[in-house]
Amino acid sequence: MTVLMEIKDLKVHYPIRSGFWNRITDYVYAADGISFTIEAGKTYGLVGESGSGKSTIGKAIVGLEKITGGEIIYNGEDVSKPSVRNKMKYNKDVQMIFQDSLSSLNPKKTIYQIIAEPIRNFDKMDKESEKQRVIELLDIVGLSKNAMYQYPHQFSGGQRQRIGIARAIATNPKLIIADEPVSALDLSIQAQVLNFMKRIQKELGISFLFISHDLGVVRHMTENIAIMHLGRFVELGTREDIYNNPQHIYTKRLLSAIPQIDIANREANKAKRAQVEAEYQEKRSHFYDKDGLAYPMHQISDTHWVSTPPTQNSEGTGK
Amino acid sequence: MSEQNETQVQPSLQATVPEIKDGAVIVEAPSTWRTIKREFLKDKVALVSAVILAVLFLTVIIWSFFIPKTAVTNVNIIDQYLAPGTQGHILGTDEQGRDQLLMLVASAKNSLLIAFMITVIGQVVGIIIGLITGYFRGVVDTVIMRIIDFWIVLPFIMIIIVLVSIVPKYNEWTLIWIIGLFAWQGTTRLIRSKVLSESDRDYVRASKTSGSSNFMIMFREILPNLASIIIVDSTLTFAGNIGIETTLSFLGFGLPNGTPSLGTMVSAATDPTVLATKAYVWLPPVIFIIVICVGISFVGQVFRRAADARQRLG
Amino acid sequence: MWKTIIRRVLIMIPQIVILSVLVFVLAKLMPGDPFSGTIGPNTDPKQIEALKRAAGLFDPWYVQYWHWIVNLFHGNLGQSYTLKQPVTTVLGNRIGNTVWLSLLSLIVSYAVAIPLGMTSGRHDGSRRDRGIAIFNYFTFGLPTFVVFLLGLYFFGYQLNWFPTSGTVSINASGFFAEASSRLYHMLLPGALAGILGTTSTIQYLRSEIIDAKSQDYVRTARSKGVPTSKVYSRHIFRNSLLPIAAFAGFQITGLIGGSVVIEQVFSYPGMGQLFITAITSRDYSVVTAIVLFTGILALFGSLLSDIILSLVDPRIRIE
Repeated sequence: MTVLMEIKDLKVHYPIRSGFWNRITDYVYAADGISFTIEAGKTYGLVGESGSGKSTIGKAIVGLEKITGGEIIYNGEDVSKPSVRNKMKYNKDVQMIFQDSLSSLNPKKTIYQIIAEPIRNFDKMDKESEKQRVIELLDIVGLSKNAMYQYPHQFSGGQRQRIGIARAIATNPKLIIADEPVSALDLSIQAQVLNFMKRIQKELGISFLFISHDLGVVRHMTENIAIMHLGRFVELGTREDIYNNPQHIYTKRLLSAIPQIDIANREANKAKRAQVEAEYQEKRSHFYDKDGLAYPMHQISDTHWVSTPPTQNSEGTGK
Repeated sequence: MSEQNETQVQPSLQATVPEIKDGAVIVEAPSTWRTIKREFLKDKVALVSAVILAVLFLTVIIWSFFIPKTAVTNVNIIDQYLAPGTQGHILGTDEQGRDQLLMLVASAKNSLLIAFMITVIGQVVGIIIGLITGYFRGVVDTVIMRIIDFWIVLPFIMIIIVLVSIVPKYNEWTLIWIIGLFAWQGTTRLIRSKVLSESDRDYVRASKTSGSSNFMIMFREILPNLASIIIVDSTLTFAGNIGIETTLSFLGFGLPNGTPSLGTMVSAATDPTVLATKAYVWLPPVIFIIVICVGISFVGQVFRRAADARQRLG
Repeated sequence: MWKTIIRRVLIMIPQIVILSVLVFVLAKLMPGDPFSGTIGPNTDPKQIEALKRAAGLFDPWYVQYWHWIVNLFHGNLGQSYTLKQPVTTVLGNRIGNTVWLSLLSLIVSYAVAIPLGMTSGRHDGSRRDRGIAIFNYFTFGLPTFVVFLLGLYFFGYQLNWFPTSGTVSINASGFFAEASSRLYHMLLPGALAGILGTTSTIQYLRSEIIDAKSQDYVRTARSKGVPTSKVYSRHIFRNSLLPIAAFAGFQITGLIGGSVVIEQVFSYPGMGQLFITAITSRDYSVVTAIVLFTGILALFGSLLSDIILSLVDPRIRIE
């Protein structure tokens, strides 16, 4: 159980400027006090609706977003500063897969150049080894080596996303952040790409942080899940904890929203969803503080944390 | 295509989705050159213009190598203002007795080359500044944009004329740099707005996580995506720069005396007698300017249509 | 909304200051001074030097600058070197001519551009549209002096429809005769300049109308039975009107700067021609004054345009 990365009280706030002198009047609290641990070889899911801040956290971890507060500890150092990241060649170990496969591949570059870019920056091989590596990577994601000399627009969405995966694993990273990697794909292709990612994760032992708004997808892909709402965690636990024993009203609401194809029990399911929604509206002021944000999390089992109001807490503060 | 791929797909999905052969061409989206070629074929007028322009440019440049300096500098007042056709002068002679045809070729070469140099300076400076301001944004961007907003409003012809009169050692390079001072602002604005939108795209973020430095990203990743607007802009500013140089020379504040320009040839028409009665003196350079500028406009519009899918004819 | 306007005006103040400094520097770089015209073979150089000293020509540059600014505010633009008159008088004689000519050009420009732009937009893709586009290529691509020269040649000399120089004929006396003579002299240059300035307005109108055509509110009006022409004049045109008015501000620079060319070709005694004469005869106080005046006018024109545009486009406003 080696700890790969520790995120402590991560805060990303965007200033809002308005008024005559363009002064900072308020902040958008995209991420507000996020803490969790990533272990080697494990998979994590980060779930939330649009605007919950999940993408922001992913970008902050990989180094694309500036952090307002908190720490990200990797290899004993705080990698929230670009100088630290550059020195330890952080991105060789921590890579990202982007949501929009079309815009994440430079339309003017060949697939070879796209995949070779991280290799050239971090691994620096000679021309022949580099070419072999690219062919190897293409093979892992199931594309023929002819793809090397073609351009992104010549491929379908699923294939482009696989190219993105090949690029992400090019430098043998230890952690991959996948930011809604299949949200832009057709459902049938989603399964294909997800299965690729799962296989790669198992075979190469890479830790995955899977960001999505789709609980169904996350269930298939990750062992541990964190639920986010308005910049804060509301629940964190293993897959079983979340799906079988949801504690927070928001988690329950998300779960009830997963579409079910169960025609026989249509009425019963509909009633159950209505009941969950009613419970959500009723207990809302109880579970959220006066600003409408979630309370800090408290541990309720070995692996399970929930954000609960102070009066309900029985044990010490959770991570 | 690897076999492992097949076994992972759920059986129900496998039946419904035909796997697309890797390497097979799905949709051949047109590349830049192909689009341009296609737009040209659709616009016959522009095609004809392009051909005419190419012929004219080549003729002028090659011919001008064979024109002796004396044909341009000799003053022979006896042969002043000969009508076309006399004594072997196909287009007649000008005020100083020089053969008009040779003057036309020499002047055209000068005007074209000078406009070309100005365009190069304007484009290079404009692209670099546009890339930097559009990519880094922030304070640098605000400051430079304010400077440009200020600069672009000023009456540049007047200021250029003033500068031309002040500068002590004056040759064509001085002129090129002076006009160049005003040649980059429009390009910077254009490039900057395109860079602003491009740098928001995920491939720039992916390049950052792949470890590429900002410099590499700007020039190796983003710049190739600017190719089409650069082509349009340089073509249209080239026509504009020809106009600026010829106008200045026409007014007498362009090229120095020893260097003929199309504008100086036309300036003979400021004399009302020449204007009214000796059209053969000023009409040829005027026609040349019209053909070049309008031709470049047509060609530039084709480039613009190729760059902006909404406006395409093909 | 007032905030935006005030902000914009405040931005212009440093711009004017910088302009004045630039013009001052230019003026100092120009050889010559008010006394170069008075030097003859018998003049005592020491006397000239004393005069120069008294005039403040040996003072440090910031003192000179300050005096110059103070003089400006008193309406004193200095003395013309060659004409031995105060610059204000010299300018005053010419400004009117240029202003009237520019006004006429502006009117012609809109009178031509608006119908052409509307036709082009309304019937886009048609031969009319294509013809107007070709017209645009000519007005945009050609250097102005070419058009003016050809116009003067054909309409002035060959056809004798218009006078070929000056601003008013000598024989005209009495208000109406003089006014109509002035108008007659302005017609050819004004019309030509106006036509040359139509490009941006036509292109703008055309794209606005094409965009508006597919908008829902137009479709609604038409389905309500509003006749097509009314849809265009009432709805679409009105929306496009204000931005076009904004362009007028920007065109001012072009018109006054361009007056240099047009007045040379037509021998029209306005500020442009004065500028050329002054530079050629090294009358640099006049030159400085003209450059300063034109620059300030241009800044005001841009200010006006920006304000009008901010009135139209709510996105530019400050909340």
